[in-house]
Amino acid sequence: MDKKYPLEASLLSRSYPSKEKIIQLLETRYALNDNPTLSLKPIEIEEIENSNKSLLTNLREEKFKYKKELKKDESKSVFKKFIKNHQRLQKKLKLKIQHYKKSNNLSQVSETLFKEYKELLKFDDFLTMNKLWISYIKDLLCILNDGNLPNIQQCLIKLSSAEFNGCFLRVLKSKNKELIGKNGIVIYDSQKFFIIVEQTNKLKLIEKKGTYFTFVIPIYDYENENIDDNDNNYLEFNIIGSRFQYRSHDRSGKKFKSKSADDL
Amino acid sequence: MLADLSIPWPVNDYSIITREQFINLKNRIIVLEELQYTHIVINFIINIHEIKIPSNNINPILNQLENFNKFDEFIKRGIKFFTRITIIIEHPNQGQNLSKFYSNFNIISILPKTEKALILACGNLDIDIITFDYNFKIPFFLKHKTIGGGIKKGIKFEICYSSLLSLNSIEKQCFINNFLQLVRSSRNQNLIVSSNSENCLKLRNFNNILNFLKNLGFKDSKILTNVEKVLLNSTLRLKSYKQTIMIGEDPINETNHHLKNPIKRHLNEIDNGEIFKIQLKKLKQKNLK
Amino acid sequence: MVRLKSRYILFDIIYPPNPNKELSNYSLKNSLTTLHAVSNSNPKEILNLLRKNIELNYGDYGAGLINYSLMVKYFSNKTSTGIIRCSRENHELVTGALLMINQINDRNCIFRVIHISGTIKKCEDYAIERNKKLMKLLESKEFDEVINIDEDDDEDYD
Repeated sequence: MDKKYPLEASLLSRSYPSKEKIIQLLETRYALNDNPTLSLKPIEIEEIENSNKSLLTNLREEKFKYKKELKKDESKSVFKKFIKNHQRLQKKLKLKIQHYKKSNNLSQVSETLFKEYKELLKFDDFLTMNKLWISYIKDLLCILNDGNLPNIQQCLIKLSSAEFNGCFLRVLKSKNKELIGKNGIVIYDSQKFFIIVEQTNKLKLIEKKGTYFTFVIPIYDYENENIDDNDNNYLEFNIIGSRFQYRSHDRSGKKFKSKSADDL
Repeated sequence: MLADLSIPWPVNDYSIITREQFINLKNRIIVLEELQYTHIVINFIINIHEIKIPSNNINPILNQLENFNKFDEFIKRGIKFFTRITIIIEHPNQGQNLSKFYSNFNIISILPKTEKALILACGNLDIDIITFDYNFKIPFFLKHKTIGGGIKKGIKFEICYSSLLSLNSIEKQCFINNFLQLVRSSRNQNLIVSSNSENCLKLRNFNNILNFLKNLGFKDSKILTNVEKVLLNSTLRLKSYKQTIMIGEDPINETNHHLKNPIKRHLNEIDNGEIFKIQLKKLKQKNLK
Repeated sequence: MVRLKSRYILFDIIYPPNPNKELSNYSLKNSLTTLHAVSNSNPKEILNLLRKNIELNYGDYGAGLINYSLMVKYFSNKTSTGIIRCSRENHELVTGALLMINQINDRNCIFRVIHISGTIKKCEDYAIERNKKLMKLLESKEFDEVINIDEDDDEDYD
């Protein structure tokens, strides 16, 4: 249908079957001044398909089609299923190991013996992601390896709208005392959680609310230089989780407002 | 932690302080130290109707104390210093442009002289503290509606106890009167207590003051955290972008005082910094493979 | 018969330096010794001062309320610490008046209430603990000289 005049186009569709004809009619005959008027004249009736359907049903069907198309995007639900499945596997593996230990009187059992282990996410697989993230964030903040530091305020503004998938985070402070000290690579940054993979190959959902996260950016070329000599060359930033509760694509265009710090 | 949010700067304009005034300031700090205060805020009070603000070096405290280098011995003992500006506003139209102060002072506060100025301060301005002159009776009636607007935004209302300790009995009466008015209109919420004393004789132990105020009918159990929140809010303004990402781990207790501090860090300063080092090593090894 | 209930208030006096006079140096040791200077007043003077202050701040009514059991139980000149006894109902008046004292014997001073307790024993314990902490601080490595502040628990002005 014509995008400019959807209502008029659907009116005309009662008498003309082809879309091109309608658009052409609208372009030539329709007045473009302040009060648009559509002049109509009787014509000889041609056979029109779907003529038994009323105008409203046509519109409704079109809307319905559009909604169906939206629903086809199932990546989110698949992702949710995957996370849930993964957590279930984790639990299962843990129970199995416990059981195995008890029955065989062993103090330590390697996880690799079990078939569930193969299906779990591995920390080492995400190292590449972390590496990419570090080069991305260095590019973003214009950090060169020559020791020149960027403007702090500019850095903070850029970081607040940056991507955090692949970042290596550590929980600094949290209302939930169990979480303090947990660390790992972020694999997904959802609205209320950071989903991270720990070094022990465990998937963890960490709530953003009431939690502070630390991350570090090295300001030297960590791939070539000796790491042990460069204790002095880091930038440290902290994410205030309570103020960070947006999805990453919402955050990129968001204007943050200043609030009082009473709840931090 | 105990904080005194208001130690007045000896002069109210941009003139250089004399040696005597500097000694006075130092004497106040040692008395505060003895009274177990750890965070001290030096307050620069200015009437912007009378004094013209220079285009650069807006902060005379940092300027004349050389970024608190002159207080080095106190800083070594663990006392933290902050700066604050108090702007006296008489006409509401003159207090609009505060943006130049944000980057130069830690805490921004306002002393309204008229009711219209108070309404402006509670409603539109992005400030931390509203304070009053407790030596005189507040010339207008404090309405709960106005004060409540400020409370919703998280603005704190300051009680300065130095007028209570003055020898002039009228000033004492004014303090109690103003204090009770503020407690009534704010419903015991968002209040903070500070000294605002011009010499070291009018400083007192925080708990003693609090007990006295409680006898007068004041019931705020949050008063200590309120002081902390003011400091947190104001330091985050400089050290973070709209409280999303901040520099450093503990903005209040960080040893770095300077407003324009370098962000480069040593591994020892980072909490559990070894973890990040190990992570980088892993990345390097992966690269070699 | 109901026992007479009282409150014991442990306080100490800090002598702030003259506002505009410079100390020789601002090290922790020097500031501690100036603030905790030896006082030269006796319990009677303190009691009179306190009475005068209550009358000044709370008027005849307050003075009347407080009069019957107010007493300075103990005051040590060397540590400037003392204990005041007063009636339980009105101890707020005493702490309030102590707060507003500015001068003693024409010497600037700050009265600091440290502890309020129902028995004199607890007050003494608290005072001894505090003094030990202070001594430890003074004896710690930062100071080259050790200052002699003797604890004098025997000086009891009962």
